[in-house]
Amino acid sequence: MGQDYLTVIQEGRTVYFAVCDGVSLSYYGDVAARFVGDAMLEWLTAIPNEPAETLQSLLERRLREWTVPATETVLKHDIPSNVAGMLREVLEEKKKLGSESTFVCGRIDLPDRAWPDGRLTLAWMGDTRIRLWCQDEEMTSDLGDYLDTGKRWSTARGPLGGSPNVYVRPLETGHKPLNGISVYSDGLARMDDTGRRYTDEEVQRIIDEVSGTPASDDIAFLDVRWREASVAASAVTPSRKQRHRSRPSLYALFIEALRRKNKSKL
Amino acid sequence: MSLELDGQRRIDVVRSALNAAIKQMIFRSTKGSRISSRYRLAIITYSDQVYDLLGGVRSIEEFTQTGKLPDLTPMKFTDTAKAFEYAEELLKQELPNMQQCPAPLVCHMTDGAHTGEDPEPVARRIMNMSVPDGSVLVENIFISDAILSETIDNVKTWKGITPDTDFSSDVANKLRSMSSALPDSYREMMIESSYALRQGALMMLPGSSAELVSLGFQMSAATPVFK
Repeated sequence: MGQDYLTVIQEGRTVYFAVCDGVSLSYYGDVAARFVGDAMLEWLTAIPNEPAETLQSLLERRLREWTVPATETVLKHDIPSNVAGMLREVLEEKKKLGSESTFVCGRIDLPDRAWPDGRLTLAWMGDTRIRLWCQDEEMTSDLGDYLDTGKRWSTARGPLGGSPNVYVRPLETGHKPLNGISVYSDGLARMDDTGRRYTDEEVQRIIDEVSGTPASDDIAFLDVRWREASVAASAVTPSRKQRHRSRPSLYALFIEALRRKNKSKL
Repeated sequence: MSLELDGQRRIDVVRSALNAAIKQMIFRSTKGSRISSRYRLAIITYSDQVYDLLGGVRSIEEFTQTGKLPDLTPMKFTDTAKAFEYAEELLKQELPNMQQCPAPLVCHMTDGAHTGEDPEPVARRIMNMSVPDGSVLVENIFISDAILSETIDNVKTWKGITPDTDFSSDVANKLRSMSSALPDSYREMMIESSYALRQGALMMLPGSSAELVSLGFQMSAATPVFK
């Protein structure tokens, strides 16, 4: 049973995404993963034009406020009727403690009148990986030491292990514009620290290999790319996995989202 | 010596503590409503004979399917060496399949001096068995009213038993010589649960209260869990 949740929405020249990894030792981690993923997307659609520190404070408050509806969601979640005995007792205890998830959520605003240099906004808690790209050159060091293994969000208690991280930057910055981001859950940790960007085929092969190991975790992988360096005059809305034919002055948007549930193992 | 601990029958205290430890294992093994075989356990009682309540080593998943804890009944004799020999044989069968696993732990509980052969040589043989993660651990819970010279007012702040702790009981000294040092990884897990066992503490507990008995069993389930 997979406890990862991935959602992507594109509206005009803005892409919103969330990659969430439910904490398996919490109560049905997928409940928290789905809740916080959807809530973060909604939050991202209305964020003000403020520095990262301000957005961080706003987000932390919202992560606490969401515990009220999230707790209702958990309480309404039924333990299967065939679960009995000590297992049911344990799950009832877990239910009181809530469901938990890590997350990486983001908003990509392509350059336009509102955002002449474009904008990338990221928010995360936990150890889901983030990789930033300028063509095939990795720019992830801009995030600093970003992995927070102890941080996650709880339906019962809100942010745990510290405050959420927020990162904001223009897409276009001199000679090193951002044009891609990869986000993947820790089940694909073998892709870390390689400094290079994998092709679709390589990613699929790695997913297949990792999924076949006894200790494999759930896997979610998202890769978002955008292209062209001049200001766009019109919005494009390519369908998912469809490559847009490039024209001068147009941005093409490539979204490839791969999600695979680990079918057999915890 | 009282047959009660904190107003409860000793056997009920043991059953309750064992129940809590097993539930902790289940807690750590579930994802959604599915259980992984993260733990394997055997439950042995003994008098002058050994009684294997689960019929060998079972995964926590298999145990959960049985639904409940087996009945525990107090026994008269205490052939501890025989029980440790049985545990030794189980470990010999299990260890070849545990090379990628945390080191196993033998949690022994008694309320009296052993009868029969000296169990210490067997306990030492067990402590010399190992997997790549480390040596097999032996923990002892000694249910007694007065093992320590001072009472433990707050289990959460208690520093634990060390090789230098003063005992007035030969039985306690014997059990201490059969107890492993508390590994740092276990100690850190206990600290996360707000216990204060010091570095160098031994895996030995005076079962003078229900809470201490429970701590002893919790320690046995406190293997580090990786997400």
